[in-house]
Amino acid sequence: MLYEKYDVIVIGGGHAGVEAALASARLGCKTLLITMNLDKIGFMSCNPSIGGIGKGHLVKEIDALGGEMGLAIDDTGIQFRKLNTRKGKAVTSTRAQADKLRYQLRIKWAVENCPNLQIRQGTVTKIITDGKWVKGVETDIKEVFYAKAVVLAPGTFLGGLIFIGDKSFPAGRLTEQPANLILESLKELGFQTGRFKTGTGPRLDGRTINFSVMDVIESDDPAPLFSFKNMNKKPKLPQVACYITYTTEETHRIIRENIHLSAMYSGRIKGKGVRYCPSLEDKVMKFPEKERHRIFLEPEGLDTFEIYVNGLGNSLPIDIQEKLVHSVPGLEKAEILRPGYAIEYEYVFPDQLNHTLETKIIRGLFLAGQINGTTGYEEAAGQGIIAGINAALLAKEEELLVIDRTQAYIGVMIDDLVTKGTDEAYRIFTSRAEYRLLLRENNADLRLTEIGKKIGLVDDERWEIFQNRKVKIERLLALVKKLKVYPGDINGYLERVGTSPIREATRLVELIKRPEVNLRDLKIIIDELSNFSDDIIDEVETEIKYEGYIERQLREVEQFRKLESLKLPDDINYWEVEGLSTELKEKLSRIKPKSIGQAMRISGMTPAAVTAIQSYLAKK
Amino acid sequence: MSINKELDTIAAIATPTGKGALAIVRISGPLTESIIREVFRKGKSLAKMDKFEERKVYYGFIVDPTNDEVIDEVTLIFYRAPKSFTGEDMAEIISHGGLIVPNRILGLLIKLGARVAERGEFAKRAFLNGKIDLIEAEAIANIIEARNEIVYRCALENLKGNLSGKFKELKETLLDVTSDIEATIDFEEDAQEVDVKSIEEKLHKIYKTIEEMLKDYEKSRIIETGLKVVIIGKPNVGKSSLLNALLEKERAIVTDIPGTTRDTIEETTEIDGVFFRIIDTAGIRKTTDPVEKIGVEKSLEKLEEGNIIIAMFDISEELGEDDKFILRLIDKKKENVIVVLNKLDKGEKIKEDMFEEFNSVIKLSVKEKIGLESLKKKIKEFSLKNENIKYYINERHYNCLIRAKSFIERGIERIKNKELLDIISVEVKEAIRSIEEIIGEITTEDILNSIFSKFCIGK
Repeated sequence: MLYEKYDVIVIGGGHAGVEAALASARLGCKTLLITMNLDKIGFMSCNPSIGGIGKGHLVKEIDALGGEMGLAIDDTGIQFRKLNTRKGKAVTSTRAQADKLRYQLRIKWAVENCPNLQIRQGTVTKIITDGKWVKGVETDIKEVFYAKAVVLAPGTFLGGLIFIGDKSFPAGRLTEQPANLILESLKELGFQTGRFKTGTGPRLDGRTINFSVMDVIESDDPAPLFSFKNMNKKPKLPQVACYITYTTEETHRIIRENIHLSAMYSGRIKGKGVRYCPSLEDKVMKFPEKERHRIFLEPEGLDTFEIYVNGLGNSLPIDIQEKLVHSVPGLEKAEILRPGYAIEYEYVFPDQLNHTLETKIIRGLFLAGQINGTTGYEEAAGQGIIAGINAALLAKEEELLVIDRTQAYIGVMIDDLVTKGTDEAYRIFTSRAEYRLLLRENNADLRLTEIGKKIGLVDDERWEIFQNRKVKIERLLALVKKLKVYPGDINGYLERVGTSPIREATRLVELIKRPEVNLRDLKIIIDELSNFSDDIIDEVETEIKYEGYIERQLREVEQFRKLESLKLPDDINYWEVEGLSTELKEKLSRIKPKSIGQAMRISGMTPAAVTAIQSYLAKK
Repeated sequence: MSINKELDTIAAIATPTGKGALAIVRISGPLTESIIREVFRKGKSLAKMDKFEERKVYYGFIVDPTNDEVIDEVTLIFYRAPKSFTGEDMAEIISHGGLIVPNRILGLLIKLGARVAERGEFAKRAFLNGKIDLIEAEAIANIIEARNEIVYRCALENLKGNLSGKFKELKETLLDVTSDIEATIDFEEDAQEVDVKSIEEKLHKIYKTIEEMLKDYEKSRIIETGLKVVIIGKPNVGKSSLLNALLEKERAIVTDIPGTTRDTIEETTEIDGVFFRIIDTAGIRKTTDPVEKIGVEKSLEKLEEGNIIIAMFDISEELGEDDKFILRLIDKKKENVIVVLNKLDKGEKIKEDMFEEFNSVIKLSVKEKIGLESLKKKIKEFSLKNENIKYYINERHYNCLIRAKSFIERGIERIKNKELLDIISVEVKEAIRSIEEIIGEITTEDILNSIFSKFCIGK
């Protein structure tokens, strides 16, 4: 029996748990990371990729706050691309392929080398509380660890159940045990839970794939890295290609004919699936009009032939999976190394959390990642860093951190979860952010690094880089507003990009406002620009091109702040409020909105209900 | 979302004060049932009621519970929330009219905890509780205040949800565009590329629809302020006399001298509950007098503006050059023309069937007051025919629509300029907000929902 005392204990070594543990330890808290298998710290259970639309924003925000994910993928990425570049500066996102094993080792290295952080293999079976506050945890071999705060990040391991055809077995990941006792412990504490389902595609042997019939996707040049510490640096690992192919009519026929064998469709999986990451069964059955679906082949690493098949996720029996794979151009002879499977798991209704990710039921207990009903590594890590920061701040008896919707995608995600709950696995989208033009990848540091610094998570190197970048952006902004360009120098370029030439000397800022003009292109024409790196040039260009729109959104932010500042006390008894429907009374009692603004975002809320609450408060 | 006064129980007399056989006293709010339980006694036996069934008519008496004094014999209907006009518990007490009874009943309700409702407070609660939208609320006000029949009928259409439906449809189409844009942004890898051209086309169609609706605003204004009835004819045919007769007052100077009216005269009058703007014009003839010439030109202008045109001819004379010129002028507007053959008292030189291509020909004598009533009837009939508007649009709708239109215009312009989707999205969302403002709702989550109903989306 061990009776060691910690400031913070983090349960789970996945993407949420790791960020939580690192944040807590870096803030000087004596931290313990408990995970069921030390070999799986930072493991990528699904596809070997980090980032993507909206997700790239999350990674940059985690990085700007002083997190690890961006640094780790920069060190171990084997393909980096910017997506959506033709759709807008605000929605441009970075995506990378990881060398899966190297990524995992890189994360483990960070965890092992972090001062104040202890690691221990073990299976937590119980959360110890005094009814109000968390006290510690107990493991299956009856070890007991005490702490001031506990972060729970068990991923899909809570009540995990795997399905392949008519076979099903309890598991957290294929070949790994689920964590069921801790689920019981949570339910005993009064947490309400639901079930979700997700899935993953088969892995193939790359040597048996005919890539020559597929479209090739290469890394961008220069490769865009994630971390603000690595701006304009080059990737460390060699870059490799991904491939695109498509399902065929034959694939769809196989699905339709065997749909009764699918674990998901035969009704044995009760959990609700993800609408935007559907299994192939879902795609074929729900969108019969689509002739083909895209399949993305991702290499799992430099030292393996294993290929992840993105878009073939299914829970059909293995022989059908094989037929499916072979019906796809280029995969006619492909050999399956690991089957695809569906997994059903338990999640805790996230409206039982505060914006700090601390639970409302047990003080000092924080939940992060898939347990809160999200899907995706980046979503998990974004919650992990916030839960870790707040667990540490609580242990240090300091004021907890809340990031709001106007500051970051992390804020949008957490507010959505705790205010609206979620009845399907939650994935970030840029369209979830109402102040999207303000929340760009490229200004994540301008939005968050000062906050990270104030908490104490931003190291000196990052702070110096940030300040340097900030100064350079200001300097370049001043320069383009002052600098005049002359017709003779610029008109050739202007005509080439299809915009009208200038007749007299014009300030550079006026030209940047034209949609056709790309400031990076002007580096070869305007010498002064060569002092500035591409990331600075991009940021300045965005601020100028989007100026009017940014101002409009800033005005909306003011409106948002006003409503957020109308605070609602925690102890309102909504059952006493006259004029509220029973449904709303239940919702409000559960969610306990912190402000009128948050109350108004609860689904089903009406202006009359807001009035009723206000009049109740006025009478009290 | 607006934040208003406390939601207590309100009561008011819903019928006008003064003599009347019956009056209705209304009460709405959480205390409704407990208050009527106190004051209502069922049947002649004056039995106290424990519970009221909803939407059932009860016969009985209103009694002051403090001293058991019977106030009036009434019928009462109780509506349980949310199935009531306001969406709250509500009751309507139908009592005898007059000054005393309804006020005593109201007083009693107030004594038991209700408060006197403010203007429009019942409708406001109906809106706040989502029973009606803003347009329907406005329609109710229009119906109550309507001073002319067309306004009333248009408002009724709006109350039935005709206009709200159109705005909702407009919003749906805009949401559709947004979901196209958002799907293209958020699902690069899976959604089919939505070409910008199709977004532009959709926006263009919406733009056209809004323009059509804006036209109805002009017509709505006409309906409110009255149709323009323009009287034309050659000099001295009796136009000013007709104006005076329609106004029932001596407004225009009438002489025997042709060309007395040199400028147009415009006056408002009411014919059988409908408002009209009657415009008397200078007589149309070939003239060399520069002042008269200006007057004639102005008459021609007014002719273009008129919603109804009264073309006057002298029935006691053969048609002259000027008359023929006038006939040519109105040839293209036959639909809106009422031919009036005046001076019937002086005899009939021309035959009615000369005007057979016109639907409406009326013989009359302004001087002898013959045939004026059938003209008035005709004018009213025409006004109803003229009411070819689809949507009755007020200034608030108009302003929001203008705003929506300008956002869409900018959206189209941005697309033409090859600007990027995240910016175009802002313009479309602002347009949606303008429309939501019209109906009185604001939301964001439905954009995502709308995306998923249409696309096959992968990770």
